[in-house]
Amino acid sequence: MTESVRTLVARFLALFRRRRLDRELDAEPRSHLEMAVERNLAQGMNRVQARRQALLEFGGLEQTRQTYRERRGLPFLDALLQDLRFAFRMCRKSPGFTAVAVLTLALGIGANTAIFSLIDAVLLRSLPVHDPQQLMVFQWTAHHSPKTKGHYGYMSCPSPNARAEHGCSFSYPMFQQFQSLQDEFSGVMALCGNVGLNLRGNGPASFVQGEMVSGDFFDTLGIGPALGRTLAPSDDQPGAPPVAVLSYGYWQRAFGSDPAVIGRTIWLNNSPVTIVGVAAREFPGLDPARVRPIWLPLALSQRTGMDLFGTVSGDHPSLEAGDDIWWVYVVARLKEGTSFGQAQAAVDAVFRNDVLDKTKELFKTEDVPRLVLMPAPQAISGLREQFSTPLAILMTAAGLVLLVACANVAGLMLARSATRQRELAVRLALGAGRKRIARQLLTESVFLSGGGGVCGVLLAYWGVQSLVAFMSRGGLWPSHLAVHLDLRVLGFTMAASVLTGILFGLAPAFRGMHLNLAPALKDSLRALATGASARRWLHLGGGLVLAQIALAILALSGAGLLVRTLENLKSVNPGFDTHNILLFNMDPPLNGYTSAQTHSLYSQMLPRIEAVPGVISATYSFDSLLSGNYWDTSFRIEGETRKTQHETLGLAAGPKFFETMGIPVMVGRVFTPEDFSLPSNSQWKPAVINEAFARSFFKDQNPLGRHITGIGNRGTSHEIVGIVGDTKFRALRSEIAPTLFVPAEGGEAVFEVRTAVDPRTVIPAVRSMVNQLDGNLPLLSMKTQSDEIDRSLFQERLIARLSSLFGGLSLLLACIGLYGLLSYEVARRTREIGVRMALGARPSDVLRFIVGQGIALSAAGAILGILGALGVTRYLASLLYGVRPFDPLTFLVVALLLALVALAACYIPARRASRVDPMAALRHE
Amino acid sequence: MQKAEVLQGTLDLLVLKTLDTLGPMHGFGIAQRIQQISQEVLRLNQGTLYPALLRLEQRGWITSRWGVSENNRNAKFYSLTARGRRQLRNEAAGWNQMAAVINRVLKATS
Repeated sequence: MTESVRTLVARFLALFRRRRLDRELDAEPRSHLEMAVERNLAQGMNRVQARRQALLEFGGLEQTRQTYRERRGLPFLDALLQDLRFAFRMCRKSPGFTAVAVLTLALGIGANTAIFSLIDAVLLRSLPVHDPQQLMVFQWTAHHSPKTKGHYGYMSCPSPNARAEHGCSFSYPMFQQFQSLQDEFSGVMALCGNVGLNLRGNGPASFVQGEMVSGDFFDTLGIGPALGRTLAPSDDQPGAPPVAVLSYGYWQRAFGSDPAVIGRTIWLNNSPVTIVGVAAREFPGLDPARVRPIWLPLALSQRTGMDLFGTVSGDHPSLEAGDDIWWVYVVARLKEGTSFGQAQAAVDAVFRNDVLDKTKELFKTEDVPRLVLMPAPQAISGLREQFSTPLAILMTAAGLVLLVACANVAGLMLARSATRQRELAVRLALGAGRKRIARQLLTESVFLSGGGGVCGVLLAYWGVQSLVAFMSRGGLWPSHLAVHLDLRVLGFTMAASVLTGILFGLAPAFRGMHLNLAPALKDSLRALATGASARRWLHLGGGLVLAQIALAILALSGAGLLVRTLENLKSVNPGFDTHNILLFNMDPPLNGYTSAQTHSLYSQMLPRIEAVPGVISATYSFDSLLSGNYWDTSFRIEGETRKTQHETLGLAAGPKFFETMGIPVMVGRVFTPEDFSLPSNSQWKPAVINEAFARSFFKDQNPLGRHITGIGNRGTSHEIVGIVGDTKFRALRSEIAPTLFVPAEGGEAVFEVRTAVDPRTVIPAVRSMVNQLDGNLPLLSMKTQSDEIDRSLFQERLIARLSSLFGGLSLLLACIGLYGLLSYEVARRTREIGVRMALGARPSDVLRFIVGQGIALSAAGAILGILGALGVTRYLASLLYGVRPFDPLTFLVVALLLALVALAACYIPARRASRVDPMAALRHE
Repeated sequence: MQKAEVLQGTLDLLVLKTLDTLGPMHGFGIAQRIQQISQEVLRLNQGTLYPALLRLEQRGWITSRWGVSENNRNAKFYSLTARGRRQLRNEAAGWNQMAAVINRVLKATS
């Protein structure tokens, strides 16, 4: 065993001492022969005889040298190095070909690397905690949901069984019972979120969403502090001093990485809290899709007053809440040595024991409630839910692009190998094995694709950075998730490059191996031109180019339709004036304002905002138009014979809403200031409807004066006082729907401010005005209406961009493919062209001939592509807006684009053909 | 007796033995010695000796050094290493065992 290792090492080292060893290899046999000659002379032979005898006895000198050399080094590596050097020289000789091939491969490999790095960032990274496989998420399943007063959902909770009800939230007393299972778990923790927090004490008031966690949250997950300390169980006791832990990213962003942050007091929803630490850098949160800036102990749920976003139903949760409010998500770490089955049985017993208790009416026995443990990596899908399908689609597309690139480069290499027939034939004649030739050609291919891989990595890096930046701006990409080209991605790239090289190198290598020597040596062109295999390759190559052109047409048509959709959406009339409107949110109830106080605050704010120079008018509403938020409510119309319940979209609006938004009033009136100070028990509150509402529910009758009842949670009754113009509400794409406007009463609201100038210029003035009224109220999400619309169109913009990119890429590759094919044709038929020219054909005739071939092929591909597009674009119908899947204009433009590109691709080979010198061609090999 | 071809494995053994008996020697000398001792029965293409010597050197059983021969010629001298000596003993023992067994088999009448 050690002998073989020794031998291997010796052979490897010999690679580095080639020159010296070669000299010795010459010297040793020489000295041997001289000594043999001497001996023979001593035995009496003459000089000639002596030498001959010595050589005879020695045996073949060259064979010995060859055997020796083979045994000395690693012949495989030797040959590889030799091939690589040769490949490098060949590439330098034809820089044009090398550049085109490397570019094509870079595009193909780069696209794959880019998508793979996204996949790596989103799907392949494990949870950012210690040993995630040992963490178990608690989940209940039963035939029916438990009878609770409140059930809050927060984290993802994949169902273990499609037929049963399931959930991941538990009551606090139940969590405490789980904590007593010390034998099975080394740590049991609970968490709950999103908790809306008004943060004061670090510059202007801001709004953050935090997570409330039990004291051993960080310990159970195995996360340490980057600064200060993390939470401890002692912090999670009622009456313990209120503390908080910041996330690393938030500490960097909002506190400027200030180390003095430890011990500082901040106010959350008007309660003071001390910052005791910053979590480790690598820990953005348990679930990568729910990254929170701040963690608080659950015990603070009394003080900060929870305002939960998410599935909210019923009473508010707190530590004092009993068994009937289920609000915490429980995660536990299996103890060393405990099996999964053991732990599961233990928790299931505790759970069933508790919930089937007859005194609490949570579950009935027939519901068969059970507790299931699910390993955290499975339960917490993170970003997988959102991104797996789009990424799968992208990866497939990238894979196709790579295949097309390979086909392209194979074609280019075939075209080039046409001119190398003689060189290969000579090599074969000199004794190179066919396998050796094939290996050398393959090495050239892999060398090229290696170059393509390096360029591809650079392209991918730049591409991914801009893609992620774009997606972050639109809120589609979690900002904490950095995509970098780590080892896994680079490894993938390398593997892809090598495989690519082998894939497209097979064709030329195969051809090289099966070269017919004699014809090739004599006249390689004839061997090319008349070979049956040559014609086969031509058909194959032609077919490939045809397919590429068809694909390009398909991709471009799709892209064209999507781009037009985007343009149409951007120019849709939403029914109100979208220019120069500033939007911002306010949430006074979070600071403890009552409904009446909020209303009074808003009434004070409006005139002051309007007093700011540049502001035309201001208003507020509970949702802003086109934000994606909306409210729909059922109602009844008084006086209807059938007393049916109808549905409508609704919006609570403040004074001057329609005037500020530029919505025209058709009939009747809109809200006046008196409408907002009506006593709460007045019988008919006013309501305004849009034209669609009037059309849907009142047809030809006059809606004014009619009464509507049962609006919203409290079932208020309204009298219709006016009709306004239709507006888009939910999204630009949505159809105009019946909308009911009611006067807004104090609550969280969006302010809309119409300005005469760029809305952004009035932001500082508005902010300071609100600060004067109450310095603790943050202004949230300041943006303009145009920004909002852009954001709502984000998905369309992304899709339009990506599809244009792929369309352009396919077209580029098809162009390269066409160019390669035509070059091959021209090389193959150089002799024939020479003959034609000698017989009187003019250069322009030749040019037209070649170009004609290219155009014919492109036209065939285009027709195929258009037919394909007609069949496929119907699947895009759900994405389109304002343009049919068979839009002729789009197809026409795409066809023209292709024609131009095809002409460009044909031009260079055609020109080369027209420049053929008949004399040289006829004599030429 | 016909001049037998010398097998690779046995060539190793012969080389090692030669170096063990005669001390450091150059390739030509080793070839001469093998021919001499076997009384001209074993003839080898002397050229095949050198790849064999290379193999032995790669395995660490012999080392080489350039020196000057008796006739004032530059030649590469090979000598046995401690490891090689051990290998020689093991292989020789193996051969003897094999020979004894085969002898017994051939002599067995029942």
